[in-house]
Amino acid sequence: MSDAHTTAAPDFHTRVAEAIATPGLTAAITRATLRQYEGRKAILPELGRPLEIRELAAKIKDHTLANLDRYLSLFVENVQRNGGQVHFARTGEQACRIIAQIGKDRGVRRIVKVKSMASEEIHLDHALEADGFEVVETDLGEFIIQIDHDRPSHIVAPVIHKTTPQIARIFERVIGTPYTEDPQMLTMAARAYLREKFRTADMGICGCNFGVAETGTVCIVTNEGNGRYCTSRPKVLVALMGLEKVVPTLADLAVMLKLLAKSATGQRLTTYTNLMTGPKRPGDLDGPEEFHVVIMDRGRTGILAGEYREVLRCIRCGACLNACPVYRTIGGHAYGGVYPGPIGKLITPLLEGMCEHKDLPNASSLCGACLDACPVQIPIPEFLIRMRDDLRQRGQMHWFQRLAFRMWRIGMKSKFLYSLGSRMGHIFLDGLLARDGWHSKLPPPGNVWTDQRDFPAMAPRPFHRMWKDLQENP
Amino acid sequence: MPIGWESIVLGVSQEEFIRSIREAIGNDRPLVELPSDREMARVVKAGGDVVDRFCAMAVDAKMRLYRVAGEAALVETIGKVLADIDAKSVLVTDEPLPRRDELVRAIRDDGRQIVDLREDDCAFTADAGITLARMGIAETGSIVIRSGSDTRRLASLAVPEHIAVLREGQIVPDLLDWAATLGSPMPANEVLITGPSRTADIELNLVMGVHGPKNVHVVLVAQGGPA
Repeated sequence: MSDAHTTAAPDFHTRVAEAIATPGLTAAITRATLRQYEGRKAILPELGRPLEIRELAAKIKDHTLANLDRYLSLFVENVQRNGGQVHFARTGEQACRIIAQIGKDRGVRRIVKVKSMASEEIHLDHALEADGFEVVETDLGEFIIQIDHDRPSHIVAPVIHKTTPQIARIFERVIGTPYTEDPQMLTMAARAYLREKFRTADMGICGCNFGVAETGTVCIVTNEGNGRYCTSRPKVLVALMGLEKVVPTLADLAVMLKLLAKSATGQRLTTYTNLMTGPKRPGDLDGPEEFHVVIMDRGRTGILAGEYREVLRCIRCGACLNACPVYRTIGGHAYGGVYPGPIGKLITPLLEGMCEHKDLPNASSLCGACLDACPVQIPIPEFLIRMRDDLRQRGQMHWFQRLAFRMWRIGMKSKFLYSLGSRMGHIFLDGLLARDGWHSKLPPPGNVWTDQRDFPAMAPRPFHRMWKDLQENP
Repeated sequence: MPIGWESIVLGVSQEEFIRSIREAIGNDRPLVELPSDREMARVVKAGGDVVDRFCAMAVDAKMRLYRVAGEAALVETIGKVLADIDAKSVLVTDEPLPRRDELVRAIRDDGRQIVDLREDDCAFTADAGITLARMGIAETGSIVIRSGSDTRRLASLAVPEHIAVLREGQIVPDLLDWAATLGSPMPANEVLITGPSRTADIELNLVMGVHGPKNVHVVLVAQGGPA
């Protein structure tokens, strides 16, 4: 059972400690993320000039965001022209209510769902279940999460934290699959179970990877094909879309598609790139009779108005998670939000409240691997520093931290104090406590660091001395 | 737009929604200029090796590729594929497949049942589905499937084996070329298929055929071959 995940500790540091103490978690996450990271690195050069294409993608998003009112209006107009209906939700609750009402009005009982981060944000499944609908997550990973009452831990690979034996026991318990550790057999068991759900569902819900303004098209990508089922078979289709998901043209969509799968999983393109433009046409033998798009704000206009606008460039590929040494160590649950990893450290405080998630922007070494991986070049490290400063201005910095930084500033400004400090540190701290050039147990407050990782001892000869020697005897 | 009961209870009006976005952008709208086209993102140029590139990429995406010299060989090749997978029932769409009537006859002659496309669950019961691929994309090895009254979306999805017929002349070099051919009117559904249905959700073990076909067979008909 994974109740430990669902009832996560309220405190970030406790969650991190729990994650690190979970046997095998760090190893499993590291193995999986490194594979996707290597896959991305191997395939990106195929683009010829990947950096220039990433710059173009960032520009396309910036241009769209700077004119979002116009492009979104155009998108809405075109969805309606194609025979679709558009709804506008300011909050997550409104989005849930709109979708539930669509279902109720049409006598819907069974809903099949495509994986969607926007729906995770608003806990749509729970809201719909509370209204009496049967909701079935159909992405294999999300299905496992749903039947185990767990939470996803990665934007793209939601059950990255679970081992095959764990999944085998869940299948045995919930859908009666005889215990097997063969991924093929487990997958086929899920296939058989979900196939009947696809066939008999009344309504499908999907997210939206991209909304194309010039045509009113909703584009979703899936590898499994569940996205096509959910949007082809049921009579009613609802696409839930964050308001930032618009791109101006089909050519822009092509540019984004060149980057998305390569950045996410190292594939040239996701298996199914699915473009939906309105309900089925007269004479079509299948496809939804009703096509609804729910466009959701939920704090996004606040981001658009503020200093972190470029966060809205994000295309949810997960490349920054795979690149991040912190994510690889602690996994997704410890972040405590729907979006983990480097981008989650920004999105979660921005969408859910900065003061409630004040630890997240600090949980970074600012190494820059996320920026290096981001297909739309969101300046994540720069924003993390900015957010730390925002938090300080809101009085969200511990008094001890403030004091330490103040003393640091004084020390760094004076040559005398600086050399004195490094001398004392070397003699007392290193001399008494370091082993083989590393501290594994520092006294408070240094223990906050060394509880989870070693801290390097100071160099026997500080740099300014070595520099001086070099200048004298080059 | 009048504020009706629905908009109060179930969300906000379009007008109000767009206005809040306009306010968020503010008065000093940043000018982000875009190049006039997206050509700088082109990966594959038009030219000699486009068909070869398509073939290499399709195989790399784990699709099964059969190159046939002309339409005459098409019927025979599909017959072999159906025999290999031992299909008892076959769904053939009404799309303008080359030599469709001959193909259907040959399948029946081989003792296989042709499933009725009009039957609601046909794609769930058939052992194989044969559809037209409207286009191929050399950059990614993708085939393009389009909705219409002569086909079913599920004919390329709910069947365990999907056979797609593609003419060489329909292969475009780059995703940009695919995007340029689309436009108004858009089909209700356009899908790029790049390999069989797959998942790697269980400890990144790759498993094919999770929900959709476990095999995608692409029969590529050469240009200018014997008709």
